[in-house]
Amino acid sequence: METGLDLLRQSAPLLAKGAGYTVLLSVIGMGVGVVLGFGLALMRLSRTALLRWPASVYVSAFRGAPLLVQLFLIYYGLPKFGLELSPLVSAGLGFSLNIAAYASEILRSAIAAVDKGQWEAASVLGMSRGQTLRRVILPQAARTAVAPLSNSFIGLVKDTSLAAVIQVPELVRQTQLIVARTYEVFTMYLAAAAIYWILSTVLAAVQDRLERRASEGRR
Amino acid sequence: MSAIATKGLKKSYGDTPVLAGVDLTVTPGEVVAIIGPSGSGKSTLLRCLAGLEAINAGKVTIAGVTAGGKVPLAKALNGRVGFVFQNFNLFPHKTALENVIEGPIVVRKADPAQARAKGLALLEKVGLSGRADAYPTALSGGQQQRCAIARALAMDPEVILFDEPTSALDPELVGEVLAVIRDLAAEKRTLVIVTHQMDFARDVADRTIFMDGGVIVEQGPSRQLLASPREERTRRFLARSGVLQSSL
Repeated sequence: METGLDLLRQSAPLLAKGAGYTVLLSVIGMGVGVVLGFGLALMRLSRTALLRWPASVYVSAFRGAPLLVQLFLIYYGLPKFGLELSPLVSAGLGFSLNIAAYASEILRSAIAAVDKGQWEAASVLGMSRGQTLRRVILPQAARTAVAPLSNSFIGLVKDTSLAAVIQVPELVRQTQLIVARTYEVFTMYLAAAAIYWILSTVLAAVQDRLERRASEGRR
Repeated sequence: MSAIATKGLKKSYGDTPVLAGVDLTVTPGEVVAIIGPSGSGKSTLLRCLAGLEAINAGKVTIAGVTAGGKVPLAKALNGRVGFVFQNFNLFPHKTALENVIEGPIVVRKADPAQARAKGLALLEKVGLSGRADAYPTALSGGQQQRCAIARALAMDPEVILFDEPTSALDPELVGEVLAVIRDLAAEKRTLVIVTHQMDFARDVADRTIFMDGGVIVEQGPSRQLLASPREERTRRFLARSGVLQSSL
């Protein structure tokens, strides 16, 4: 037991560094992913088929293939076309593109779930489609989208462990390296699991607060 | 010039014709009630007038703007035709006052301070002073509908269309909404009201129109139409509605 605690104490800086990369990848993936996803959602809700179907193809492709395969394609595949990206950039890109597909579906359905009467009420006031979307529809859609987006985020925090296979020094990769030196498989992976759990729990608490704020005074 | 003029107005959903050629003229300051069985096309007519539905054939001119074919009117009208929905359709994330001033500020680019002052005055007019900062969910159905009326008034509409404004209300709340509409009629505003409230139509509307099967079957001064309709279909509808003694 003594040795286990010593081991953890010695590993702490490396684990902390790994957790830092995990958080960084998660935040980048979610941030960029939601922005892209919002654009895709608007494309899918567009009246123009030329905007709708590329977005549909995108969502289908990025939801349809395993995230691991997408990371391999970006990290190992793109150099074939002269595009060599660092592990960190590859992982950030992969997670962003992947989350964008899921976020777009969440946002699209949240926008579509807003009562049609809201569009009509804005329309008879003379508001344009853009004004209606910005001032009437999105504030209400955001309420609906907070919970599923938070879920995606919490899922992403754990999915970033896939970046270990393309050498990003995130939490799992750091754990692997420590295990390779110490052979303390159980202790170290348990420690990694505990850190993921803490991150997820904190995020769940943030989600709770966001949800409460989003519905403040309104229902 | 008339406030509303439609000619040969046709509208169908898929293969189902809903309006089969409606000719309607409303003069400024006139209060018109539209009655008829459900599915008769009266709500669809109102929605075509507001530009909420594209029309399939014919012409609609309202507040000086003409729509024909596929052009939806709503944007061109720029809020000059008010519409009061059966289900209010207030913006749930905005307070009563914010609902009322949204159109003036966003569409008309009104000065926020002036818009607020006017909004508060309108809320007072519909009996909602003191409720300006309440969110719609904190208001009763009757209060929500009165707020929706204030929202329509805030755009200084040339015409206000009411789509069964009391049908979603508990019976004891109907009166307060009808009272507000009565006040508007007394101000000589141009109002078109789709309603099931026959007594209200008789008392407030200058003219009542009976629709059935997507056409105007009969129209005339409200008292006359409701008391002694010429058409058999009108008579039957009014008998079913309990307005006329059944002659059958």
